[in-house]
Amino acid sequence: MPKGASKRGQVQMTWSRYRKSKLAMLGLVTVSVLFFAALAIPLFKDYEMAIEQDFSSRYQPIGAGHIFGTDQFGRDIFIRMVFGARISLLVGIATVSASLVAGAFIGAAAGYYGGRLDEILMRIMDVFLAIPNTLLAISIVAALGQGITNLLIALAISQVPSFARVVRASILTVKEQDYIEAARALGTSNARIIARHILPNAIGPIIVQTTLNVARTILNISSLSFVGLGISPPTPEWGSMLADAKPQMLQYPHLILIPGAAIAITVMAINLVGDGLRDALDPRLRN
Amino acid sequence: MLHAVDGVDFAIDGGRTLGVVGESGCGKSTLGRTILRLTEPTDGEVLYDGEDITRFSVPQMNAIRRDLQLIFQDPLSSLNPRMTVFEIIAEPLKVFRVTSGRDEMDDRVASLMKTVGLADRFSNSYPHELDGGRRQRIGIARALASNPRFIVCDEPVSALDVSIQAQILNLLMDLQEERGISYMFITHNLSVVKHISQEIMVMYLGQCIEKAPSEELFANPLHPYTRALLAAIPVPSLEARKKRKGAIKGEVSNPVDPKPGCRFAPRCSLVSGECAAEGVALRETCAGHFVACVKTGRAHE
Repeated sequence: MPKGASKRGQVQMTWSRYRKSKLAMLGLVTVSVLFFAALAIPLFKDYEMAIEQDFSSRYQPIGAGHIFGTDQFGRDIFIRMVFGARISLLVGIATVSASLVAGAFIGAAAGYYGGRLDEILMRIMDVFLAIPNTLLAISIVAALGQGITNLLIALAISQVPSFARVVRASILTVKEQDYIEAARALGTSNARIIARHILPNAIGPIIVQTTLNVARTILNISSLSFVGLGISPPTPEWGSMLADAKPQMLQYPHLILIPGAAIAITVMAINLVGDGLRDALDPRLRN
Repeated sequence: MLHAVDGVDFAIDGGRTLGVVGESGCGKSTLGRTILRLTEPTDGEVLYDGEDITRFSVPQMNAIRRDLQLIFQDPLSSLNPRMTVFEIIAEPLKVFRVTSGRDEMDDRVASLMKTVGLADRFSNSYPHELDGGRRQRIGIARALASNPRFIVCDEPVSALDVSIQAQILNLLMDLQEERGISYMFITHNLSVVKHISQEIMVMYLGQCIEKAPSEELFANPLHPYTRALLAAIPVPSLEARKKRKGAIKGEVSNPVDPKPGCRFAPRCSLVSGECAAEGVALRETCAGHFVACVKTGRAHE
């Protein structure tokens, strides 16, 4: 594909290249199933089923009545998994969207204006990048206090630098094109140049980064919940289910295997989608 | 300190074309962009209707940008790949608020497409779906959208097939006749520049070395560099091949901190001691013909 491709053309070409990779398709199917389960099943099941305790049916094995069995409080693990998926995916997407918007503003300003503004903004981003992602999120939650809103803020802040860097890099490659000069010759405002002429042409790497960050966020939510800083019980969440199951993991391994496997599969599937998108959007592989 | 363009003086009258010729890297494009203030000049004046636009504030500048437009060399990279032909041509109308309302804009875009010879059916196409000539017509339509009085044409036909080149040149000349637009026509192709411009300026390493009316320059080139350029035009005859001579040797010297004196001296066949002297100024040898050469300039006087 020539470097200038149309909206229609590019989506079609990307899809046809994406389809060629079996792993990427496996990832896409898995993610679709997860999304469907997370959004559709809660419509038919009551949220109460995920939190109400029933001591008459503790530690049920897999199968018979409860597909994934029940936990130490007699709650259906399958239902809890589904509601947990909904929280992970929704919080994941919400935080990534928030940090994408913030990162895009910072990266666009730094890349487009350059000079001292670029220097100041990117050095601040470097400070954030120097702190490990999870550690940064833990410190922010510890400072703000527990709760879904604070978790969301903490995760969003910790992702902003990675978006700022990607957006800035993409903008630097587009900025020098003649059509930007043509827009400047028209006296187009900087905001309009960025929104109409630069961002639409710099979107590829940003999409990939977004996908990969959703996976990372889901992992971070689970990690934080596992150490007790994320979503607190009784709200079903994969990480806190792991933590709850830890004491009985030798007697009842399915309690820990199911949420563990779900986290691993989800993160891997989203990463496969991200890798597939990266390959499909990479201009060097275009044919 | 690199001076891409250094001490170039010229004027373009309404409805006329100035051709600017020179090899790659001599500062032709920088000159064109500086006039439009896409590159800020470090010094000097750009007078438009008697006013120095280098002192204009951003809003003042934006107000006159509709009068001063630009056509690019590479028609593909100068068109936003995510916008349709219609959107590209409508963009100046939106930015300058030329039209009021959707219908008027549709009409304007349609008439602009007709003016530059683009069929209606392309209005929803994307630039990469069209051929080079049509892409360049989009670029011209965009430049025309705001009814400019002056257009910098930066090698507008260099990237096109020879057959298309003629079409685009004729289009530009027709537009000039109809609308009285002035052009600054930048190129390295001498036959193109002869075809389109009334006056030609030859540049070497950021300086103007010769300036004359087109006919005069081709009939009576004075600067050794101009002569070498003209001698390099291929002539389709077997005889001409034997007679060909005067090709320039060597490379363009380093443009960073150039030595005083003539910048072409290291490659010139007529060079002597006096060429290294300070300040080789343009002087008029006969009406309208200026040359910056110690040797040929004087010989002619």
